[in-house]
Amino acid sequence: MPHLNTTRFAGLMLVAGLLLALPALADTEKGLQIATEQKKRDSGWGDSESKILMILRDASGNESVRRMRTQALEVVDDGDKSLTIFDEPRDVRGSAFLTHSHPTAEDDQWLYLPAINRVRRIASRNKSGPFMASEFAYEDMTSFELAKYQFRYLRDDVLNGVSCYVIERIPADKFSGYSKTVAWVDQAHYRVQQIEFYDKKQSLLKTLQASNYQLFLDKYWRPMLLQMQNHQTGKRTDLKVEELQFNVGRSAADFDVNVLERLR
Amino acid sequence: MTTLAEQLWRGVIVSLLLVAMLLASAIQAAELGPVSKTDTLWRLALQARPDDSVSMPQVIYALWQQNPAAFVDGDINKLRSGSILQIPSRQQMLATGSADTRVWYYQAIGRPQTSGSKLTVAEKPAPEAAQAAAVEAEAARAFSEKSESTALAQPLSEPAATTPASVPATVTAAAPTIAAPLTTAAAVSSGFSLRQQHQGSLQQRYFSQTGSAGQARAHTLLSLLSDFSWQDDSATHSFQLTPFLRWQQRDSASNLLDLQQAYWRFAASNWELKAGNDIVFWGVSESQRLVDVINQVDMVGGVELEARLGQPMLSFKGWNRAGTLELYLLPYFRERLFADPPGRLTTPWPVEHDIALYESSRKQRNLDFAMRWSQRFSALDLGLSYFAGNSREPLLIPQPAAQQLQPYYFQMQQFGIDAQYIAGDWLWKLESIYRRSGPQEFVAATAGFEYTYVGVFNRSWDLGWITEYQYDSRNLQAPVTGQNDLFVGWRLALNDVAGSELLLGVLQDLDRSSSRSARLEASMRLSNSLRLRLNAWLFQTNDSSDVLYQLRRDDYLELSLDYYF
Repeated sequence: MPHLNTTRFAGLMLVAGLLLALPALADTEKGLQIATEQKKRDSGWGDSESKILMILRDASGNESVRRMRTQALEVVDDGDKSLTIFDEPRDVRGSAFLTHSHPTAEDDQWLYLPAINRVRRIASRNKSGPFMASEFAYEDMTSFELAKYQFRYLRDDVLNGVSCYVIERIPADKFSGYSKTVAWVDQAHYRVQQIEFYDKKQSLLKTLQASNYQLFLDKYWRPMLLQMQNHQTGKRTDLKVEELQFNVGRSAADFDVNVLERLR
Repeated sequence: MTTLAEQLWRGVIVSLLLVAMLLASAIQAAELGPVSKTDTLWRLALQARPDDSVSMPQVIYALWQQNPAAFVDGDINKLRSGSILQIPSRQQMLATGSADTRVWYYQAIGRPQTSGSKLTVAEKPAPEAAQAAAVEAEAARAFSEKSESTALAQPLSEPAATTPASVPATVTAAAPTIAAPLTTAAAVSSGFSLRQQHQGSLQQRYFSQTGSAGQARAHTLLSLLSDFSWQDDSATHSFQLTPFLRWQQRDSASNLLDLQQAYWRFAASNWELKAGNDIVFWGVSESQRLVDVINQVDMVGGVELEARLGQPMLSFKGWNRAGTLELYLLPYFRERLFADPPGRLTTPWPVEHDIALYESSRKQRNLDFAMRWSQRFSALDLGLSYFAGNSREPLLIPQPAAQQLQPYYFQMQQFGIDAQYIAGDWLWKLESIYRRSGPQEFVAATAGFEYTYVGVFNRSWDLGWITEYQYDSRNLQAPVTGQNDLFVGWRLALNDVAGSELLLGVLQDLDRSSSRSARLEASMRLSNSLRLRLNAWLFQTNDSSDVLYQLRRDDYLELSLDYYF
């Protein structure tokens, strides 16, 4: 009865497979739960404005500075809108970068070049490139959306004395520069404390540390310092939030392509 | 000329209609309420908000204006429960600027603005003093009577507690404050702030050989571009001044003082008006600029013909879901700037501006008109444009006796289309024009793509591959290089700290196999405020009827150092 045998064998395999998969499923579910709570706690902030200083250091310690101002608008049921105006280095001063992000579709992005008064729409599919030559990739600068990842809870851990959940995130975007990232999210407030980025060859590429968390609007925790260390090149970027304000009255009209020329 | 005037007139009427359409408001008659004790004005405003292009303070301000009876003494912190709010139209909400309403809002809720802007808290939108006193007395009475009101909750905080009591129906005094326009707030904050930045450049050009008339091989150019921008706090009014100053070592005709920008702008949330000099960029392609027709070309700025002169204009730009509309009235014409032969990269004889001829009897004072409509259809950007007026490209008539060239500016009409389509790492581009100018009538087009490889050679380098085909229906008679030409180029961005970039391009004539030009552009940052650039051009042709022929001895290399301060 080879037929029956095959069926029985297949059935056994299925049961065994389910048993093996069950903990994984539970971990996936818990991972998503934690990510959902993290996202939930960070929704409703409306709009914000900030001033950012980036310090780029190469392996031998040479420093270079980037300064920019950003505006952001939360968009319910879609990705957020953001606008970055560059102040330094001075040869790119006045350039502006506008993003209308979408959790699953490609973002819409424009670059404004003041020297020729030109607004240029740019391809946005591949966001793995470096942002302003820093250790932050464009994709690291985008808003956190649940649809962008598959989550898996790994374990609990204590990082710098803070109890954390450790969550693995696998990017849904096949053009991401990462095979996976592993995030330490604190259990008390669901704030990201640390993220490890793994390159396409599964080796550790960078570690991000978020610190100096401040509370805004009695509800939203934001890190004032982000430090990104590249383990493969020895380069490092510190991103300091020098000013941050919420509810500054920005609306979608302030993120229209047509107002790029008005920025200064 | 009459047809042109007619067209102009028709254009003006069409534009006025379009402006009216843009500004016209569709009246909505929606209601909200009755207001319950647990409601907050913020929450109600959230419901009333048509879309996120209207800011919350704009919604709240419009609600407050529209429903004077719903607030005790016009105080937005005292919303009467039981009242029914009329929802103002989206247009009404947008009627007052976001920044103005923000100032008003924070003042009205009695809290300093969270933003760090220099806005002082505006005076109360005040009535006459006596009235104010009366209002305050009434407010006090209303308060002491514990009139039933719903406080305005701060955004994102818990709903504020309500003070339960009975409200006398008589206390409906439409507070005079409500009529006070927000201009008071704007007036208080009407300080202009200045931002300025400057760019000084030192350029050195080296030609591979002396010119056909023995011109020197080394040329130095110095330039200064300054940028002053004044803006009021609400960003409604602004003044922009961008003078450009250039000195050429060997050719005084190349010296220039130009006001690239010198305009006043009035900006509303989705439209703006400009008066003065400005530079307008139209188009998408890399290898040549066909539709870009408003500004005159500064030929001294480089053979790539990308430098422009400021154009006096009165312009309107408005946008909504139907796209963006731009309208331009151009009252004064700028002649094309050519170097004289000693400056090289120019015509063999000098172009004599003093004897310029015009088809228009009004010459430089001919009123030119231009418009463009553009729209985004997901991955496709489309623009349609129209221009009528003095042609920017002169016909150069040789005057052998005087050994000079006489420019003749015909009238011209141009219809243009520009489109860009994004598909993954591909950008597809098209520009095309139909132009009628004097004896000529022709079609020209540039079509091609730019494909970008991200992360080439396992580095964080981006390599772009550009291919564009150039067409002109005048064929070999066309006074341009790109009549049937193929441009192939590579753009490399190293994404390093120095922001190093490299562009290499070749334009091959498909009709004349030995005719081609090649360019190299490279640049890198030396420090926070210094950038070094290198440009090089090669011109090859053996056909004396080719436009390139006059540049055949002008292969050059240019080094520039740009200082930003």
